[in-house]
Amino acid sequence: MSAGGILSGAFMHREPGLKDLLDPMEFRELCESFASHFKVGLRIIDSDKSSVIHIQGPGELCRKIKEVSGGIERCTRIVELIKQVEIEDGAQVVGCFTGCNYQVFPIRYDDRVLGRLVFGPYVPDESAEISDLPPGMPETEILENRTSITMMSDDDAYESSEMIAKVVEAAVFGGYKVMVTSSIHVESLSESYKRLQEKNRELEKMNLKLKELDLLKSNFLATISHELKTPLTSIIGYSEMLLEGLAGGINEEQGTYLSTIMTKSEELLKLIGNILEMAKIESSAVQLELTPSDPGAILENAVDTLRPQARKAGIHLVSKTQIGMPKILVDSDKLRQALVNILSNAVKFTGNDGRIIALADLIEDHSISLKTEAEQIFGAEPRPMIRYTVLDSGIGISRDQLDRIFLSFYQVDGSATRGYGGVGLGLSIARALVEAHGGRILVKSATGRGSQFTVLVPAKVEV
Amino acid sequence: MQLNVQDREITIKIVYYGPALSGKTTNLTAIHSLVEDEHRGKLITLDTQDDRTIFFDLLPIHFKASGNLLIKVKLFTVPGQVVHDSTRRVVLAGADGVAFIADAQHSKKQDNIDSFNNLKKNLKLNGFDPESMPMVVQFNKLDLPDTQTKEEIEESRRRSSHPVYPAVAIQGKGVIKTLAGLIALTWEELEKKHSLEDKFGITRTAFLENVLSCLKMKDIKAGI
Ligand SMILES: Nc1nc2c(ncn2[C@@H]2O[C@H](COP(=O)(O)OP(=O)(O)OP(=O)(O)O)[C@@H](O)[C@H]2O)c(=O)[nH]1
Ligand SMILES: [Mg+2]
Repeated sequence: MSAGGILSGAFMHREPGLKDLLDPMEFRELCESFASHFKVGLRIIDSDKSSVIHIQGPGELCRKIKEVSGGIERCTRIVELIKQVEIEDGAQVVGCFTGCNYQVFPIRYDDRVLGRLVFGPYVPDESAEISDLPPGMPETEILENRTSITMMSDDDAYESSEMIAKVVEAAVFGGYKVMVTSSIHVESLSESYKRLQEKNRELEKMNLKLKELDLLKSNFLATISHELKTPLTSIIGYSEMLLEGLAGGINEEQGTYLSTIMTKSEELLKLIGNILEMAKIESSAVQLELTPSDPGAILENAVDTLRPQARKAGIHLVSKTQIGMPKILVDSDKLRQALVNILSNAVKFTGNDGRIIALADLIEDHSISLKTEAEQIFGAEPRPMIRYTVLDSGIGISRDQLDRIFLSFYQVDGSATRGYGGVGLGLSIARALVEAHGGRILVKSATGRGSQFTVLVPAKVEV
Repeated sequence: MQLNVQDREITIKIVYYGPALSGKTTNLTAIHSLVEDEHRGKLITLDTQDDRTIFFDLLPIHFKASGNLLIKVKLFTVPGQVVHDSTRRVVLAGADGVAFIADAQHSKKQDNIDSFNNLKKNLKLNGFDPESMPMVVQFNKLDLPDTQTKEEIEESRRRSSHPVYPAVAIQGKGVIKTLAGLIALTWEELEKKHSLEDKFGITRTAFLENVLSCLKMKDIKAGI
C-alpha cells in the first residue's frame, strides 16, 4: 500500500508505476553511465511489463541473431521469460541460448515490487554452454561475437545489479516524493477551489434569502412602529389634554384614571421601543463602533441618566470609579446603554430608602478566559478586564430564576412586574450588547437580600 | 482505516497536528530511530523550506499481531504554519487518531490554543465529530526553560478529556508513550465502530500487548 493509499483524493486511487516515478530523460543518462561502466546492457521494466528504459550492451551478437531465421523467436522467448520470471522473493538469473546470462532484479518500494531491473547480457564463464542454436548461425559465429560481451561471474553480476537496483530505488523514492508533493499540491488547490465554489453558491442563495428577509423585516418593523406608536401617541396626547382641562373641568377621580392611562401608555411606548431595539439586535449581529473611551466616564454617564428616577423612588444611588484606568476600545454608547438597562432594573426592584452602588475597576480576569476546551487544556493568559458592578438592596432574585432573567420577556414574578412596572427586555438587550464586546454579565442574588450584577468587558487598549 | 479481511491486514492513519515548530516532524524522526528496523518503513519528510514542513511527513510502521494479523500504522504530520490550512485539511482526511503536539513554552500558549481550535474546525470540515476523534495531547520541549511546570501539566491533565503526555521529542523522551497511548485509544474507537474482534478474532488486550511490546522494547533500551 502506498502512502497515498490512505490519504483521500483522486491520485490515491491509482498505484503509481515506475513511469510515473522516474524522470525518463534524466534517469536514462544515469543508466547509460552505469551501462557503460559495467559494459553491459540495462533494462528497466515496469510492473505492467512495458519497458521504461532500454540500453543495448556492447557487441553485435544480439543484432546478428535477430537477422537469421528463427533468431527473433528465440530472442522473444527470452525477453518474455525475463519479464515473467517470479522475483517476489529475490533476484533470478535467466540464461540465453548463447550461453549469456541476465540478472533480473526486483525494484521495491514500500514492500511492493514496482518493476524489474535487467542486467546483461554478460558471459558467466568462457565455457558457457550454447544450446538450441537458430538454424543458419553456426556456433563459431556466436563464440566469436561473444568475446565482445563482458565476462563476469554470476556473483559479480549480482552485486553490480544490486547496487544499481538500490540507486533505482532511491530515485523511485525521490520520484515518489515529488509525485506525492505535486499531487497534494494540486489536490489542496482543487480542494480550496471546490470550497470556494461551494461558498459562492451558498452565499448567493443566502444573499437572496437575506434580501427577502430584510424586506420582510423592515416592513414588519415599520408596521409595528407606525401602527402601534401612532395611536399610542394620540392616546397620550389626548389624555394630557384632558388632564390639563382643555376639554372642560374634570373631577379628582377622573384625573387619577387619566394619569394611570398616561403612565401605562408611556410604559407601552417604551416597551415598543425596546422591542424594536431587540429586533434590531437579534436580526443582525450588533454593529460596534469601537473608539478609545474612558470606562469610568461611561459608568458616570449611565448613573447620571438614572439619577432622577432613583431620586423619585427614594433610592440612594452612589457610584465610584477606580482612578487611572486606561482608555479601552469599546462602543461607548452601546456599553452605556447596557449599564443604563442594568441600573434601571436595579431601580425598578429596589424599594424606598434602598441603596444602589455602581462601581468600575480594572481587574485581571482568570475565570472568564477558561472558556474553550483549548483554553482549558493549555491555560490561557489572564486578561485585563474592566469590571462594572451594580449592587442593590432590592427584592433579590431566587436561585432558580437567576439564569432566566436574561431571556426576552421574562420577568421574575408576574405579580412583581405589575407592582414595579416594565418588562424584562432591558437585561436581554444589556447582555447582547456586552457579549458583542466579548464580555459577559454575571449575577449574584438571593431573595430578599438584593442583587449584584457584574459586567466584565475585555480591556482592549491597542487599536 | 483500511480493512483487508482476506489478507488479514489493517491500516490505521494517525495524524500529528499542532502549531508551527512544536516538534511534529521531530516526533516522527524520533519514532523512526526508536522503533526496530523490522517494524518501520522509510521516513518521507517533505520539508523543503528551512526545515519547515510544507506538505507532510510520513512514517509507516507495521507489526504482526497474534493470529497473523498485519497492522500497518501510517504516521503523518501536518504543516503547522498558519498559511498551510488547506494542506492540513487534506492530510487530516480519513484520520483514525490525532496526536496534538503542543509547544510547552509559556510564550506558545496562544499558538497551541489557536492550533487546537483550528484542528477542531478542520475535523468538522472533514465530516468528523471532534468529540469522538481519538486524541492525545503532548507537551513537548520540556527541556527548555520557561515551559509548563509539572503542576501545570497536571492541571491540564485534570481539565482535558484527552490523555496528556510530557515529552522532549528531540531526545526521544515521551514520543513512544504518546504514540502507544494514541494507538490504544484509536483501536478502542475502531473496535467500537467495526467490531474488529469479530472480524479478526483478536481481543483488545491481545492487540495492545502486541503493539506495546513492539513499541516498548526499544523504548526501554533508550532509557526512557
Ligand atoms: N529544545 C527542544 N527543541 C525541540 C524539541 N522538539 C523539537 N525541537 C526543535 O523545534 C524545531 C521545530 O521542530 P519540528 O519537528 O521541525 O517542528 P514541526 O512541528 O514539524 O514544525 P512545522 O513543520 O513547521 O509545523 C526544531 O528546531 C527542533 O529541533 C524538544 O523536545 N526540545
Ligand atoms: Mg514539520
